[in-house]
Amino acid sequence: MTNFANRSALPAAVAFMMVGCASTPVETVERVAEARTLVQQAEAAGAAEHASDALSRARDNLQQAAVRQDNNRPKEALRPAEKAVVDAELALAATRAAKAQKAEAELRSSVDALRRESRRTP
Amino acid sequence: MRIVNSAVAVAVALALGACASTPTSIPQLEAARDAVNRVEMMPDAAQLAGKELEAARNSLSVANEAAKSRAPRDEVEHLAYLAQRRAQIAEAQLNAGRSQQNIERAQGERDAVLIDAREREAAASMQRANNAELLAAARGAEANRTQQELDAARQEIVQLKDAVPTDRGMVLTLGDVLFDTASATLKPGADLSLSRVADFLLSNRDTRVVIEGHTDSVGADMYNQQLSALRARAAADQLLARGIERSRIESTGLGEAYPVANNGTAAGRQQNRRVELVFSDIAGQFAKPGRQP
Repeated sequence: MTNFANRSALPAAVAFMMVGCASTPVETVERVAEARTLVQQAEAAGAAEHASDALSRARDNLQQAAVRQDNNRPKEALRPAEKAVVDAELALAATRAAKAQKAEAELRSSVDALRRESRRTP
Repeated sequence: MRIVNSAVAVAVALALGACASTPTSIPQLEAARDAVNRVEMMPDAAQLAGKELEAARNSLSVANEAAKSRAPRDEVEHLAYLAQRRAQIAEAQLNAGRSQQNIERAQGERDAVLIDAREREAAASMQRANNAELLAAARGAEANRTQQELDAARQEIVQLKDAVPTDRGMVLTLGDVLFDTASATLKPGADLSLSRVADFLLSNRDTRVVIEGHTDSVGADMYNQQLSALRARAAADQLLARGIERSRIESTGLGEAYPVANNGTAAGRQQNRRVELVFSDIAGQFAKPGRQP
């Protein structure tokens, strides 16, 4: 929600201050920082293994945002930063889902084995 | 919020004057709508990924509003991208939640299987205990049988098969071969005979025994008498060691005084070198008074 509110603030600022004015890149800075944190979290969670597509999109978008920010093009950095945020969040969620699925499969097979074992014993 | 956002989008569009026309169909927006729709169709989505689904809907609304208000195409595409990802996040969350539910269910099943297994194990060990009881009973029967066999064996001993009835009563002779030459030490072979004697005495509590040592005529009388006394004592000690009361045992060395065979031959002399056990009757009475050296 905050995202939308903040995001709406920037175009508003752009609209009212007109193109060419030096806009405060706080929004961009925050978004890039958020994306960077989320990408790191996703990496730490094992997204490279479980959600490699989402993670690499997040990295690419973050990279693009960071480059544009460094090149003093904060307005152009905002969208890739926002993309990087959702990509990283997806990478995290998909990683969690994959892990849960794996745990489920392992438990399922151990229950099956247990049941077979239990049937065998008199 | 959405109104503000769309208003802003309109303002941006007007201010920039970039895109005069927005196409009615934007593939990225369609993809976002499909993605959100997909999650909404799942009946457990609200329960398992309610927050994420709400975020996806809101994100899609923003994109839809932008499209409706003819925001620049790249703006709409960007918002649609975010909405699609939000929908995918919701779906991933939903999948994770489903897996979690299945895990809980499987844990319940596992517990049930384990409890069942424990119950079976308990039943099995009870069965084993019963079996063990049966086995013990069987062993008890076996022990009884063994006891009976033992008793029968005792009975044989009681009859003292090796003993010979004489006018002095039952007499058991331990031959010369049970002692080393000129030694009073019993050879291991004497054990069996003396064990039988001990068993006999144990089962006939009033029976007494006189143990007589005898020698052949070779050697000095004194030496023979002492050797025979020592041999008789050795046999008596064996019975004492097997729990027979000293009061029921008498041992004496009779030397060469009571030969049973001709001392003129080697075979005769060997027969004369012996220990005799003379038994009383079961009341403890001897048939004849004890011999004297």
